[in-house]
Amino acid sequence: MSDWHDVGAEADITPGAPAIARIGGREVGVMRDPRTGGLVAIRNRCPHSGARLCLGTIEQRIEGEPGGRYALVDRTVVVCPWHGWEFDAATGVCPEDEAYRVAVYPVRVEGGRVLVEA
Amino acid sequence: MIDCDVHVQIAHPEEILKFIDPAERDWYRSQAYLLGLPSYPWSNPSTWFRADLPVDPDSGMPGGDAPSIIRDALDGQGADVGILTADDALSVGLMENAYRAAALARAHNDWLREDWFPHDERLRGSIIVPVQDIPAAVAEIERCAPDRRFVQVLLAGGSERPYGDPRYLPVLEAAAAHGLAVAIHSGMEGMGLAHQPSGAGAPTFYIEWHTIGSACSIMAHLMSLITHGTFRRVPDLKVLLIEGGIGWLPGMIWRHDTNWRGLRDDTPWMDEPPLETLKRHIRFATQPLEHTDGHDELLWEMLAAVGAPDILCYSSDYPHWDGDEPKWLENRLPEAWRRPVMHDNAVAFYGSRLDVPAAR
Repeated sequence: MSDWHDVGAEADITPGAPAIARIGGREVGVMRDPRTGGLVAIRNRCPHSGARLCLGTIEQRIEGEPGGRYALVDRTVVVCPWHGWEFDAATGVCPEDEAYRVAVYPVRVEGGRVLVEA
Repeated sequence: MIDCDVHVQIAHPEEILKFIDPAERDWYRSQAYLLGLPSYPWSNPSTWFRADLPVDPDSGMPGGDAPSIIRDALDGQGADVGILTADDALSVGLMENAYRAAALARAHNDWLREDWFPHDERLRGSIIVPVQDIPAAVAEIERCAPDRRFVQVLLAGGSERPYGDPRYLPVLEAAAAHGLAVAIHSGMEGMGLAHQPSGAGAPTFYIEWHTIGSACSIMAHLMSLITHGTFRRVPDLKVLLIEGGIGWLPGMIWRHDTNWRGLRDDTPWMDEPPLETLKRHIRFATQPLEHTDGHDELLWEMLAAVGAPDILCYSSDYPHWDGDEPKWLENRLPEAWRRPVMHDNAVAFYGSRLDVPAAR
């Protein structure tokens, strides 16, 4: 059964300064997307080698075609601070290998407080 | 058994020069190295060749004509098909003079077609190309491709850039369009236009080059072809990597598989683990299969993790001193690997150009 948990003041969460809370024995990070201003709540442990994921960055995904063609696409990813693996900010799935996935949680703001459902 | 690497020796240079315009022949005759082909600064301290093979009395070389190869490499080793590969002429694409290179490549290809293929239906061949001049290389592929006894385009491990570089794309496309494989044979690193082997500068001794120099170039081409997304641009491209070893493959491909996830912003067209691309498009000629000092089981386990036996095709490297005799190699392999490695994988890889007679 999940509940909404208060993880901190919205004003304190900026790009590079996430809120980190322990919910039910698990560490959850809430990150600010610098591009959209939105919040992303994600389990704070990279499934690859255990880094604290919310100390990474939120970026717009780059896709490409052989021949040196690059394009920003409408997909937001959390980038791990250690090895740069990416996880879809909406689903927690690593686009390069779906066997690697991390929990993401609903997040909302109420009265200036950030609430995470976990 | 299908042998993917049977080297032809230029025992009599005039036999190649007869396919070159008379106005050009003296140039090739007067060069310091054989036919002006860039060659090794290191020499094998004993012999380049298996010492137990019969030799041509004039040149002292084995494998200098079709009857020798039929006797030694086809009948002698029990090959259903032997794919002829250039030896010294592997460096034709590294000659500083692209015009002489183009003429010599044409002559070498004509030599195979006229003086070798007609002797035995089991013989197939490799097209060499002046890859320092891409349009000329493409033209040579187009010229040779109609003869379906040519099964592959042969490039040297030594190169100006790794072969995923876009300059080489027309060559790879031309090969694929004609159903020809592209074989990259280690060697010629540091010669002519090629960069030095090893990445750390020129080695001093032949053993250094032979142990790692040739492997390094093969690793670089493998990495380059996959990373550039070459196989997405040329979906029908098939690449055979010859004589660069294979024991290093698990370590390199695991590292590549790990890195592509984290470094993908620079190469976002890589849409699957490199190993998956490798399994579909790349094969390794077996020789020289590493000696393991009693750890063969470990080697099989590691190679199985990167796609063996499907990625392996037998090669003898006849008539060289470091060749792998087929019966010895076959008996060394795990039993379930023998048929695919010695025969079936090459049949599937080369397709109809091999048109292989029933296995003997």
